[in-house]
Amino acid sequence: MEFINDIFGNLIMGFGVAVSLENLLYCFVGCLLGTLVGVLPGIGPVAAIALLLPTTFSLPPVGAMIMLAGIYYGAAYGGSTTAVLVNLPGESSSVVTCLDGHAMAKNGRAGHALAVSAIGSFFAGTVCTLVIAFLAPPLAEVALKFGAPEYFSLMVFGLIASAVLARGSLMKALGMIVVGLLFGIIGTDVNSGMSRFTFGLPGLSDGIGFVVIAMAFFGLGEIIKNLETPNDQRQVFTDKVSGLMPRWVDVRDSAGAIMRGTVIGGFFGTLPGTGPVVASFASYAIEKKVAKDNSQFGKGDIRGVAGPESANNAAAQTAFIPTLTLGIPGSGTMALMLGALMIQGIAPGPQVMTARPDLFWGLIASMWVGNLMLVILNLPLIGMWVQLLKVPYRMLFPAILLFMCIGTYSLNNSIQDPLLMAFFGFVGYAFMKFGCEPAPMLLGFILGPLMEENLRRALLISRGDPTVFVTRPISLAFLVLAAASLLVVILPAVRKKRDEAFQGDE
Amino acid sequence: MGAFKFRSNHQDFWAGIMFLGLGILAVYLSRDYPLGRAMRMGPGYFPTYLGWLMITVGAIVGGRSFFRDPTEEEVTTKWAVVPLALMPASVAVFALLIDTLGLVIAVLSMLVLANASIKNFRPIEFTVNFVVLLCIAIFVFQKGLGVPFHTFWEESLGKALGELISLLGTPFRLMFGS
Repeated sequence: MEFINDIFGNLIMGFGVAVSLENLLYCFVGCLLGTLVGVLPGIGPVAAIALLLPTTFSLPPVGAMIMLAGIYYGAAYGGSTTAVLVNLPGESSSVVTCLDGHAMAKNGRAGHALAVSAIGSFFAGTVCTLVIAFLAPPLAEVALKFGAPEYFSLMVFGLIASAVLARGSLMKALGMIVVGLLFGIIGTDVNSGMSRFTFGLPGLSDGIGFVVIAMAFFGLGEIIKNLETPNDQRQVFTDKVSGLMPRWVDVRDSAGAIMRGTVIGGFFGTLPGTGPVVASFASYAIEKKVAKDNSQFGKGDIRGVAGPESANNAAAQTAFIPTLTLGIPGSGTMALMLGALMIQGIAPGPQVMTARPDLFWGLIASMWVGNLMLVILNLPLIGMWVQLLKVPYRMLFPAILLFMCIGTYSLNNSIQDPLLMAFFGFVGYAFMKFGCEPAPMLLGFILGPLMEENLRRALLISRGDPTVFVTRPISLAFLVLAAASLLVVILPAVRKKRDEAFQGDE
Repeated sequence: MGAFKFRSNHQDFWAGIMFLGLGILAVYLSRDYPLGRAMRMGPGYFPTYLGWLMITVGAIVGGRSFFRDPTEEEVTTKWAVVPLALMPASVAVFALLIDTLGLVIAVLSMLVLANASIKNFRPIEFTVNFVVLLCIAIFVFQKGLGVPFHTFWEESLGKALGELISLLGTPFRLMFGS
């Protein structure tokens, strides 16, 4: 009982932080910018956050995190708008929404699809905000007891799980993680003060900024890829969107799907590497199984929109749990959030909750405020987003390019960062062409230095004995989990299922 | 659109080469860093083992390509050569001009290069894009967020030029040792 009281006390404190005029403004700006970028196809959430991250540097930590969180779920909302109206997912978690969402739009029910997806997302967001509030404190409590060996094994598990659940080849995903870990080494070694992998360039002594890496791989690489097909013949659904007020029938029909989607998404969001994409696919598959009459799926069944949309938003929220309590990001976007925390001078991990309760609970409360804002913001502004969709890509990508230039320049007010980004843009595109996903690389890049530090500490404590990782029970458990998840994917039967689940996810 | 087929049209093969190359580079560079012992890891410990791990993964991924026929997609995939050259180039041009000739010229040059990848150049669209983006750059980033751009080349051209030259000279210093 006391525990529950504590949580509500904390939530109220958080709302006190979140509804201050200043933070409401940050939240609003974040949601608006996020939706804006989310609506635009061809720029994913990682690139969006990386692009907008430099603008938050001057803000206080709480404001910066609130704004970034707003950008993050704003992008998720915006992505579904594009999916419904243009049949192009604004981001990969909206891929399934295209199936039935766009079919509904063709049948003249775009408004209903958008309304239901907004309601589903809001419901899922509300539930998952509460889930975070209840789950995070006990989890952080446990995590506080972790020593270096536990952290190292946890990171191994997190990285391997993210590879297992990534799209495409497992080996290549593992390879990309190691690539990220190696990139993370570039710079000055904190322990010895020695420059590593800097090629004598003084500018590399602080390492490569994660914003630079993220923009290069997700922004620049993506733009080059989009330009492979020279003509952008987008079928914008230009008829005016009507029927934005949800009908009772729709709500009744989709209530079950929304609830199931919330549970599925909430679960997958907490797992490293899965997050919104897998959640939305799983939800769609389950809705199709559960439905008595599933003949309409793919032709405009509202449950095919409600379920996945709720699921991806739920997962987007609960993805914060491992990031905030353990300091282990599960996805590329969360890796950026973590990086943003570090830039603000806050060491991520379980101590954040106790050391900076205003930040932690303010952020959680602002998630709910942000979700509410998005419902209010999105539906009336649909008209504006539709207009935006008519801007052709050939005008859009130079703008994105310029913002990336300015963004990287402003990191250190130095021309070195944009130059580095140009270089890694090449590398990123090449990896993409060789079928290597960039997301595991980003996770490895962020976790690399932490992993080395924890390995060093663990081996110091154990006097150089590597068995420390298997003799401590929690550490062993993580390693067993990591090995198990690897084994599971290698087994052919599961592998087939996994490939099926990712089919059409392009 | 220029495009060419890869001679060995296999993603795994090239991914393996990339991994192998990076791994070998990492191990090679790490020779200069003291390895230390497990109990007191030196700065070379982690990178060396990572390098070997990278080499292993690269060998597996690359080796696999000899046992699997390339898929249809792998055979037909084309590289967007023109954008691949122009996009990083436009970023680089922006970077090289911003401190010397200022924002206006840098943005203009960047946009020219970026637009060079599009067929059918549309002058009106280009002008609109340029004006709008320049306004955003000036009013949001320079004035609003305080990014220290020069609008033109009036200030400290000489100093910036000096820095630029020293940066461009880095490869030579590397080559001949300094």
